[in-house]
Amino acid sequence: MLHPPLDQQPIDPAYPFRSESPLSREERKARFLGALKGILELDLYDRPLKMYLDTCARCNNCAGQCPVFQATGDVHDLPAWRSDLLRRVYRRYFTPSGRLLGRLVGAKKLTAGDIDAMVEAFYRCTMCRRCAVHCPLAVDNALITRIGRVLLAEIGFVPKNITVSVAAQLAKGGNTSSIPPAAFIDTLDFLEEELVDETGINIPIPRDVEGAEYFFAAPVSDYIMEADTLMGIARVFHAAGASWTVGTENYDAINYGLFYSDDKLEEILNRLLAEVRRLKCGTLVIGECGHATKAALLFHKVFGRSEYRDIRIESILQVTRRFLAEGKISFAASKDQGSVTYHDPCNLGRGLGLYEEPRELLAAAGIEVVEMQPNREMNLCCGGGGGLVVAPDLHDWRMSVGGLLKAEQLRATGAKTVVAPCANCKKQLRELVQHHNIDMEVAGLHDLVGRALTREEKA
Amino acid sequence: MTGMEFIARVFPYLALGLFVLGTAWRFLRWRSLPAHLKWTLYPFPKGTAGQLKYMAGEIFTFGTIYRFNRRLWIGAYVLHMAMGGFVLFSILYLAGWLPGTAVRIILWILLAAPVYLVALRSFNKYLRAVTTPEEFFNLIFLAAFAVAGLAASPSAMSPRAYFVGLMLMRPDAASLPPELVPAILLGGLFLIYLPWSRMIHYISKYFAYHAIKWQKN
Ligand code: SF4
Ligand code: SF4
Repeated sequence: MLHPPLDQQPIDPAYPFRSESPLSREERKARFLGALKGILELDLYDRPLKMYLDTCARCNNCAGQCPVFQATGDVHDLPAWRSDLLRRVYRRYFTPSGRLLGRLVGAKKLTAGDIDAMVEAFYRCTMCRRCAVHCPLAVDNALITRIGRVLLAEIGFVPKNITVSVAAQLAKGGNTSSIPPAAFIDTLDFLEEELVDETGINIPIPRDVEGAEYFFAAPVSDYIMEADTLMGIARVFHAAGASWTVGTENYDAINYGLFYSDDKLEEILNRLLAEVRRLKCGTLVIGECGHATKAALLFHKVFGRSEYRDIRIESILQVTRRFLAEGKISFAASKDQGSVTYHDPCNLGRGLGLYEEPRELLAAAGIEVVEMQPNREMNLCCGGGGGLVVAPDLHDWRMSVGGLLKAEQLRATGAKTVVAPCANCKKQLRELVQHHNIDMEVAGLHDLVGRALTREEKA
Repeated sequence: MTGMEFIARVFPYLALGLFVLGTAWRFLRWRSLPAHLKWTLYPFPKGTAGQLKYMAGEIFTFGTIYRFNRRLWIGAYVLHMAMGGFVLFSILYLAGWLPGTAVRIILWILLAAPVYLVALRSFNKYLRAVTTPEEFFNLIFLAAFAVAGLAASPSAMSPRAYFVGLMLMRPDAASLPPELVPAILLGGLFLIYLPWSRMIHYISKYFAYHAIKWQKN
């Protein structure tokens, strides 16, 4: 057999995602191709997409980097094979050579079976982009995965938990965790009380302050799961004497549109920017969250409404790092934290280049980091990237496939704490250490940074 | 004009012209594609010097494949170097600075590398899963060219006069050794085909790195 089987069947019968679409199989094909045509005509992805679809040397260099393929060794998890599911359809319908020569040039008519295979394949990729680092032709399979998912969404396939969260967020005054404003405000009060208990001083979490310099938005799940991270951030803003605020009409930075839909991404982003504008803040600061930071930073200039283009967007990592450089915050001699390792979230590292900021902050806070091997641009995805962490039905897969190598990597550090400035990574890492019996705490960056600050009494 | 005259006097220019036009067309088309979405991958080499150094390293060593895919690297690297080497050696030979044996050796390498790669792509389960008939076709095309070149090399007549005439824009059908015709045909067809095949990565690579992966803010 010289070529992957022509009519794809599901790759792994146990994999929980199947294409469940109200559309007939014929309609799915027509819609899929229509949507692909639309994307190819759209200026937005022109250069990278066409280039990636046109060139791939089929060298499998990417396979050696892909944590999913490394875990399964299954040909269907080869990044180039996965991308080819889309590439060969593109060739068949949108290139002269594919139309003319068909299979000879790797082109193939789309079948409903192919769509089934794509549903599975594109949701077995965490979009971590590790494979792109050492592709000799600089092809980025994660972008192809993303486009594949956008097309699948057009025919009605999106994992249920993601659609539910997005629907909740886009409801009036909504957010992905469906925390009502009153409960949100209660949580802020609670955090302030906790801060008093911990520090002995009043550290406010300002709400709806018009004209504050920084508008802060965390992934809303932090208000349920990551109190320490939020308190650390409040301590930093307070210690730096910064003017900051959260908004009570929109307090959710999560943007799952990044994983499957430009329309949703745009809508979610603009709603958040509208809140920043309502409060007349100059800078939107995204909390510890990889995908939310990337969605906002990368797509601001293309999807943000023109009247919002002047809003600055930063990651909290950049802001805190700058406060340190400007001497606005300082750290006391560190209390012993035990050994700490740092996990580079894919979207903050490979996606945005924020490798050194968190390390410099930890170093300044007197926390010695035992590096994972490999780290920085070669760090392994936690295994829950690309939105997969949102789906509870993928738990087993994330533990035994997506995060398998990560678990080994964590264990090898021997550290007592793993720091990950990303809500999704933290959720996945917690499940991983538990599942694999690794004796390790999972913490956010500001949990540690906040605690190490020089006492803030004066401020 | 007889067929032979066409092959000797028109076809080489036609093939080269189509190669240049095809490459230019694809280059310009890719360059004209808008790049609204920044899709940078961090970190990337700083400054033009750093980027050139990385690219040169990559082009001359195939470092990424060397590090992670040694078995493929042997074939791919040797193949690419042999392609470049063939052009270079041929020029040196025509200039009289290299013996014909050097060109023959390079042709043998140009035959061995694709054969090795065809075997590797057929027997390695993972490479086979991502290889399309086009890859095999490209490799066999190159091997066929090498065979044609080798078959022509012990010819009675030296090809030097013909090629020099070609270069001076005075092509002479009479000076073309007939044994060389298959090699000329295959070589020309390869040039015409190259820009439209996946082997277009000799220019796509430039864009994929400079205009996407390393795009600055
Ligand atoms: S490393 Fe790049 S060129 Fe090689 S198979 Fe993977 S995507 Fe294709
Ligand atoms: S983006 Fe990550 S998970 Fe997806 S193919 Fe590349 S390395 Fe594998």
